[in-house]
Parts: sequence; C-alpha cells; structure tokens
Amino acid sequence: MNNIKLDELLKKVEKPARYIGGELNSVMKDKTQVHVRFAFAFPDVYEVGMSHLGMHIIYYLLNQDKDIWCERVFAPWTDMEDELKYHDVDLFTLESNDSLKEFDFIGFTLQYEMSYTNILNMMSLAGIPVESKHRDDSFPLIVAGGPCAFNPEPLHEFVDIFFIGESEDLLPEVMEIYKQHKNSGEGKYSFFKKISHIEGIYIPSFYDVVYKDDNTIKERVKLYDKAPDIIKKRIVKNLDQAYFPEKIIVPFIETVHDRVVLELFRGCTRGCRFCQAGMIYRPIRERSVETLLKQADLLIDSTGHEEISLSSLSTGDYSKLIELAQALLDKYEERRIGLSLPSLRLDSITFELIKRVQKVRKSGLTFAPEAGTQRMRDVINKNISEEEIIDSVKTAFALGWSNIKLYFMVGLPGETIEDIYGIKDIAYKVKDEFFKRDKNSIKGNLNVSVSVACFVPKPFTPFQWEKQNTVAEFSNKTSILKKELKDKKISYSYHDPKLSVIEGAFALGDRRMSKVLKKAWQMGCTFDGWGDKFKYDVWMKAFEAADVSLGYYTERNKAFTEVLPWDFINCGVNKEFLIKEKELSLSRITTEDCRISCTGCGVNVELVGGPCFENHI
Amino acid sequence: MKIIFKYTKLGKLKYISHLDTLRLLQRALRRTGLPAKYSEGFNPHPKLSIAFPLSLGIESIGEMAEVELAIRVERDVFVNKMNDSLPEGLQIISASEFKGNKPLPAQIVSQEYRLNVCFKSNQDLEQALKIADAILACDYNIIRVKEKKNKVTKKEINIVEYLTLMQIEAQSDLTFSIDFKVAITETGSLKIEEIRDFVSTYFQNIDHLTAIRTNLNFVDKSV
Ligand code: SF4
Repeated sequence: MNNIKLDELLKKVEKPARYIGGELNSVMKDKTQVHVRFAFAFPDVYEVGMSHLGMHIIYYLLNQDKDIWCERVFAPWTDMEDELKYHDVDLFTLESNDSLKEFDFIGFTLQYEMSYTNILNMMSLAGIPVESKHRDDSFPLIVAGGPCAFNPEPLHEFVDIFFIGESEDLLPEVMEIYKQHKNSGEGKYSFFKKISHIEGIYIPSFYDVVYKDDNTIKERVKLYDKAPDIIKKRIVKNLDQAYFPEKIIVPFIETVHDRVVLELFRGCTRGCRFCQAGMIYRPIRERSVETLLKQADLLIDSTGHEEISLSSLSTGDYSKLIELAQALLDKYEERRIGLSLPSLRLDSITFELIKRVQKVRKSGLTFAPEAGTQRMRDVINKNISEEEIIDSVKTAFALGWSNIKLYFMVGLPGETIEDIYGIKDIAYKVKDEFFKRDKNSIKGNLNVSVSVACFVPKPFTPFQWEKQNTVAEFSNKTSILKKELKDKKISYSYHDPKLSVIEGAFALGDRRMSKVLKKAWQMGCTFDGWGDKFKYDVWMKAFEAADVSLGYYTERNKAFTEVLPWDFINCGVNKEFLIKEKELSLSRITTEDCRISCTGCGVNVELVGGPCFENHI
Repeated sequence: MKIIFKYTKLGKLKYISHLDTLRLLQRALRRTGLPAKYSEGFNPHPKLSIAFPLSLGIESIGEMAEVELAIRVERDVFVNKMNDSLPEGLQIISASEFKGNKPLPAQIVSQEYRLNVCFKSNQDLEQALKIADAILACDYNIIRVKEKKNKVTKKEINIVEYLTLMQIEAQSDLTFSIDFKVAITETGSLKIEEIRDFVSTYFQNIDHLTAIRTNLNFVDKSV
C-alpha cells in the first residue's frame, strides 16, 4: 500500500500510531533482497502485543538472519477494520505496509483462548481463506505457537503448523528447511513432510480423529504414515546460552507494560495443581546473574526505558534473587531506573532491598492466596498460609505501603461456601492490620483490591479431568462476594463467568470446537477478551449452529481412562504424576516444592536426561 | 542548565499524541546518557516539557520544548546526542540556553501555520488570489460547544481576532500557501481545525487543503 492511501486510513482512526511502525529498533530490510518473509501476528491490539517479551525475542531472532525479514502485524481495532473494508485494503504489516498475503509465513502467537476469533479475522482481512484446506500454495503458511498450542485441536482447521514448546532453536531449524524448500517448486504438503519429524512440530492435517458414540475420542488415525504418534514439546536446554535480543522495539505510544523485562528462569517447582504454566514450562532453568546483568545493560541503553521488571512464574524463587536485585540497584539507582520486585519473604536483607527500591519508584504490592481457606489451598497445593500472608502485609504496611492487591479464584474443585466467605475474611483481616497500628504510624490511604478469577481447568494439570462451574454457579459466588465486600477501603473486581466458560470450552476442547469458533467469528465475534465486545448470546448461537454442546466440555467430570484431546502431546510431565496429584488433592494432602526433593513428575526422564537439580538424585 | 530547543515533527510522527511525544523526548534523553534533573514526588520524571500542544495528524517544523539538565553541556553536544537518539521525523533544529525562571509553556505568545490550498481549476485559483488579501476583513464567528459531565457550555468567538495574515505565496499546481500567525491569549487560541474550516468557507472550489505548523513564538517573561 502506498503512503497516501495509508494516510487516508490513518486520518480516520482513533489511535493511528498503532499502525505506523517506524519505532526505534524496528527492522527495515529490502524485500527484494530477502529470501523468506515472516509476519509475526499478535491477535490483539498493538498495546497488548508490544508488551509481550516473546514477540520481541522472535522478531530479533528471525531478523538476525539476513535472508529473513520478520515484520509485525496486530489485530486492527474495529475502527481500522471498518476503514480497511471500506477502502478495500488488505491488512498490512507495520514495516513494509504490504498485505499479509505477500508473506511466506504468518506466525500467530496463542497467549489466551479468547483471542482466537481475532486470528480468523486477521486472515480474512487480508483476503486469506481461514481454513487450511482452502489455501493453495499461493497463500502464506499459517503457523502458531505459545502456551495455548499445548491444546492445538480447536484451531486444527485453520493452522498449518503448530510449534509446541519453546521456539528459540526450533524456529530457525524450520526456516533453514523452508529456504531449501522454497525453490524446489514442491507444494506445502511436501514441506510438511520435510519438517513433521522435528521435535516440537505438529501438523494437524496429518491426522484424523475418530469418536465413540458417547462423543469421546476413540482414536487418532494417521493420514501420513511417517508422522509421529506423539508430539514432544521442544525446550531450550541451556537457557543461559539461549538467544536473547540486544535490543527491543521502543513503542511510540504507551503500551500495557512499557519496560525492560528480564526473564530470570523458565519453569516452576511449586506444583500448584490448577496452574498450567507450572507444568508445561518444566523443567526449571535459570539464567545466571552475569547474563541477566548484561541483558539489562544492553536493553536499558538501547531503549531508554525507565523501569526493569523481573519476570518469571514464581520470581521470588530465583536462587540468586538478592544478589541480582542488589547488583541492579547499584547500577541503576542513580539513573532513576526503577525496579519492580516480586513479593518476597521478608527478612532483614529483603527489607533493606525493598526500601531501596521504594526510593526510586513506588508500586503496589500483590499477593495471590488463590483460595480463601487453608483447606482449599491444600486442595490446590498453594502452599501459603494465612499467617504468612498477614505477616507480609504487616511488614508492607510498616514499610509505608497502602496499596495491596489480592488475587483469588472461585469455582475450584471441591469448593464450599465457606471457601467463598474465606476470601472475604482475608480481605477484612488485611484491612484490620492497617488500622490496628499505632495512630501516628498510619500513613497513606488504604486500598485493598480483591480480584477474583473464575477457575478454568487446563490441560496438563491434575485438574484436567475436572468439570468447570456453570455460569450460574460462578455468578452466585461472585455476587456473594460483591455483597460481602462492600467497604470503602476494599475494591472488588471479578472475571466474567460467561467469558470463563467459553474459555474453558476452548482450553478443554477437541477438533469440533473449530466449528464453533468459525461460526462465532462469522456471526461477528472478535476481541472477545475486551469486556464490552464479548457477545455471550452470539457464542451460544454459534454452539447451536455448529451442533456442539458447551456442557460436554465444561460440565462433565472425565474418567482417567478417557482419551483426552491433547493426550498426543508430551509436555514432559507424565499422566501418572497428574493422576497421583489429583488423588492427593482429594485427600487434601499437599506436595512439597520439588526444589527440595524431586516429586517425580517425569520431566527429568523425558526432557532433562538427568536430575533437574544438582543436589537431587 | 535549562535548554530551550526547536524541533520538527514530520511524516508519520504526526500521528504521535502530545503525551507520547513527551515520553519519546524523555526516553531519547535517557538514551543520550546526559543526566537530567528530576521532578519530585511519587514517580519522578525528567524535567522536560513541551511548549504548546500540536493537533494529532498535523506536521510541524517549529515545535518547542525545554529541558533541565543536571550538568552543563555544549549546545552542539546536546543537539547532536539528542538527534542521534531521536527518530528521523523528529529532529532538533536549534537550541539555546535559557537563563530565565518562568516555565516555557507560560511564555508562548503565538503559533504560526502554513496552509496549502489547492484548487480545482486555474480559474478558481485566480479568483481566490484576488480576494485572499481581504480574508481577515470581516468577522467570522463560531460557536464552541463543550460538553463536560452532562453540562453543555457554549462560547462564541471571532476567529479573525486571533489571526494575523503574514504571507500569501503562489505554489506549484493550482496551489497557493497562506501563512497565519495565531495569537495565544489568556482566553486561549485557535485549533487548526477551526482555521481550516474558516479558510475552506472563505474560498470557493477548494480541492484539498493541508496545514503545517511552522513556528511557535515565545517572549521571555522572566522578571
Ligand atoms: S522431575 Fe522432579 S525436580 Fe524435575 S520438575 Fe519434575 S518433580 Fe520437579
């Protein structure tokens, strides 16, 4: 598209800067000089997508190859969608402004299920048929990866190639093969055959699924005899030496997270039973302090960002956190670069650390008890006691904090009404701690914000066989809390139960969910994650039109013997471990952090080829 | 030391809002490594402010901002370092030390725009040129409607009271340019949209019209 035409579109939309590109550190190449064109597609708006570290990594990873030009595209907001349609312009990338149609690959990242309608919409806005089988060799290959790819089946009709696991090594491997393939004149299925054996690659069109009369899965049938039976996730063995960009793009406009993000480690050893990330990102792998300091240095210098955030699943578990935080502060304190710390167990050392951090920039404090009672926390294996929460809050108040965020879930397996009232009790106890103190030491205006999510059972967790609460059950619980948490000092927010059950159906869904997805998109659903854009009634009609039952996925406890839609993926954690954990949860027996001693999830055998920690046997 | 500098905002950078431009300048300054003075308070920011907002979608060759540095630097060092760190469309064109004590935004007295007016035919153009000099001869009143929390306030203003005609110049291809100085008074100033509407109404058979801000004028009001 030329500049004059683009200008015409940009003049009409509310936030034109979302679409202009040209940011510092974005990459321009001559398209006639590259061999492969890759469009990294984030199925949400610019401000959300640009906050995602993974996008920056992939962008630079691909662009360091002079034969590849990786560009970016985000879901256009509805005003831009209208303009594209009105002016008959294809959805374009931010760098070259070329139509998505002109690319070899469009790579979607699957961060949350409720962005799926945007994936279909983005393809369609570029004139690309959404179904894989309707795309001939003239169209780009649609590839996808990210956490939701661990249950890829609801997208099997639309996506050509899934990347399961971490892409730092996998993506360049596939690109090398594609470079050879591109000049061969062979079609896309021949390319699929060339890569289907690579660890981490899943080609959905090489398989068919046969169902039983009761709708459960009977078996998977291979349509290409050399396709693997089990798809094993790919990991980066040595995270410390893994690819990391020296620069990241600096957006012109404010994004959700405008800061340098350091990923201290991958994986988690806590073993919370509801948490998918805690399972699928195993084994735990840390970066060294030295590497992290180097990354911080490069990124701060190349961006001018004013904040560094330390990000990982349970950041406080990083083995050298104090050493790292002190080093970062020594270096950046004077330059007024803020550091956001995870919640820490407080002692004299961390106390000093937090005081130093607070000098540069004050931020709120977050705790995630997840459940309201000790009994419920034992069931989900969230090993934090009320005493620990209250103690931390006390110290936080003493340090001058007055903004506390508390995260909970409702609809957990085996939950009773006491567990709901337990959430209220914790909120009020936190409030009481604030005012219990000596009058003179009370500073600031207290705000306890309670945020409640609706539990969604996820694949590869001990709760993958559980049914989800219905909309009515969820709503009952969220409205009890709404009544109980009426207090000037407490603010309360909760996730929409209606959205959570649709999310549940995609998280737990099989191939038949792709029909529902297509219907919902055809009926006008996009940006479902954006509150006011979410149309529950239309989704219900889409289920009906596709002749698929929502309840089949979300309102049914499954037997351990049932074939689950994602069973063909090996994430390293084995089923026996998940069954054992599920049974322990029924007896409210907790499982300890596997840093202390290995609890036998299978990752060491499947992926590490030895113990996960040096001191383990 | 306090530096006042003039900069451009061209090309796609015209789509960057006022607040985002401010952040862009602050970040560019951080990347230069030149130490800024910081504001007090909760979330300290480098002391850098933009003189006068520019409408979204309008280019400029005459924006202004001021910055307070914690050290003394040569003017050229400052300009070169900043320009290396700033994007192509946003470059500093001049800078000077400011010794006064009043903040820059309070000292801006007028803004200047160039409007390029393109006509449908040569005849239209000639016709327009004949009456162009008299464009400010008659009053042109508009009503500004403001809506704030269900309260609608209306205010009548006379556009020509704010404007000074500076120059009319024939350009290529059915186009002439018309330059205005727009006063900034205690009661405010004009929006470029209002000036565009005024010009479009005054002349007939305009094909299209583009505007660019060319300058901001400031008067040292320090005591
Ligand atoms: S193999 Fe053992 S130590 Fe490794 S992640 Fe699994 S439980 Fe933890």
